[in-house]
Amino acid sequence: MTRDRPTQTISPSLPWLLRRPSLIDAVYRAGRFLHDVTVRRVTAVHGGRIGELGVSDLEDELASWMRAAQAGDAVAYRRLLASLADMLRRWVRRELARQGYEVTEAEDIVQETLLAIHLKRASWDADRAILPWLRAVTRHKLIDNLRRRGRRIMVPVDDVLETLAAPEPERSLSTEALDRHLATLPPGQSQVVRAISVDGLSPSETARRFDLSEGAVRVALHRGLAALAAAARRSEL
Amino acid sequence: MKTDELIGSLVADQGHPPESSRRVGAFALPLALLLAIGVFVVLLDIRPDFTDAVTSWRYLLKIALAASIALCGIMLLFRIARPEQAPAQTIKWVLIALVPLGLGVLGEAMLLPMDQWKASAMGFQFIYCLTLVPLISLAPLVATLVTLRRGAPQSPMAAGAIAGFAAGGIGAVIYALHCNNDSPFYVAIWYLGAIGIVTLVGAGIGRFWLRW
Repeated sequence: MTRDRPTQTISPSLPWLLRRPSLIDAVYRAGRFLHDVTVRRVTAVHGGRIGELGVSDLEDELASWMRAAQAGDAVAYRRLLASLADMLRRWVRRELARQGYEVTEAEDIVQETLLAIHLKRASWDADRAILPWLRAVTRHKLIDNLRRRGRRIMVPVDDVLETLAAPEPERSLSTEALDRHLATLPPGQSQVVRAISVDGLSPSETARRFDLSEGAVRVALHRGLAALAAAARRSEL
Repeated sequence: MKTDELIGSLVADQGHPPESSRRVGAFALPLALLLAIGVFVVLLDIRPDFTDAVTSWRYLLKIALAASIALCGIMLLFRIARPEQAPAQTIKWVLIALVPLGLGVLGEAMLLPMDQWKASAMGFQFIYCLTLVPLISLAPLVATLVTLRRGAPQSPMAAGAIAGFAAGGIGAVIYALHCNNDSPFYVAIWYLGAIGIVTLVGAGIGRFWLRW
């Protein structure tokens, strides 16, 4: 009860300025906000806004996978990224369609977004809701892509709706964009990234193939992925 | 490359999680503070009348204003590092961080006779303030930018500006130990001007370096 905003019962004996509810409300909000910023509880509000049933299940599931992944659970991480890829595909397609772009390019954006989620995963605070974070990262990459694509031929929305309804050839989807960017990387990094992604080798198998230490493979992979994201960002489409 | 293959390589890279901006900042900011103090010690001295000055409210107010800018800047730094945060919401708080300074100016305007305004606003050799504050802010600026690079700010340019604002605030606090122009007028013009320079530099660097 004490946390309710004091807008109602205001004593008439207060000075005129303080009797104005909006002013008291503003001061109260400012105080609450300062408290929230310092105690870092702002997204309790964000999380609450999602509200609907089902969405909160999704929230819990994704957040628990991400937490497990950050604790080192590779299975949970794969599960997270795979279901994110499906979700992103749907989000990105819908968004591209709405803005009148060709949905065939969605997979490029899905892959770039997955890369960004991976590289920036430390910017998600485990105390906060994960869906707003995911939405923000996705939006950022989508805007980034659309900006780079600049003026492109718009396709009529009717065609797009048809494409949306068509069954999606789920995860076998591939793009040439990342391969193109991969080619611009230093050879040491690109061969390691290619061996692990395209050939599906484990880091230790990759180390044996190129006669490197496993640590060197991991470093090359990490730098390679970061360089891949940077190359995608710089690319003119 | 298939999306599945990409996921495979991301999972393989999951082994060493990147440092969060909070952890990087917790290391980089204190280090930068030490470096900035080092620059101060090499170039400048604490003002000779320091022991007298700390008893004057104007001097204390000046330090408090600079410190409030630095603290607000650092708080906003971690706020704008999160992708969910709209830059406009953060920038609004920059303006609120400047409210104490505005009140200080108002107070000074009421206390000081009008014929002394110009002298106290121009102070004594403000050019030092405009050059030395950015100089002292260099190490903090590197630290705030490095901190933000680990984050995922929506707007790289706004994030860079916040990095500059925070770094400029830190520089101003340290420079205030030397400077003997204590009027809020002087602070509002020249300290804020110097912080503005660092803010612009930060925005310029952030625009390119903080993209992700």
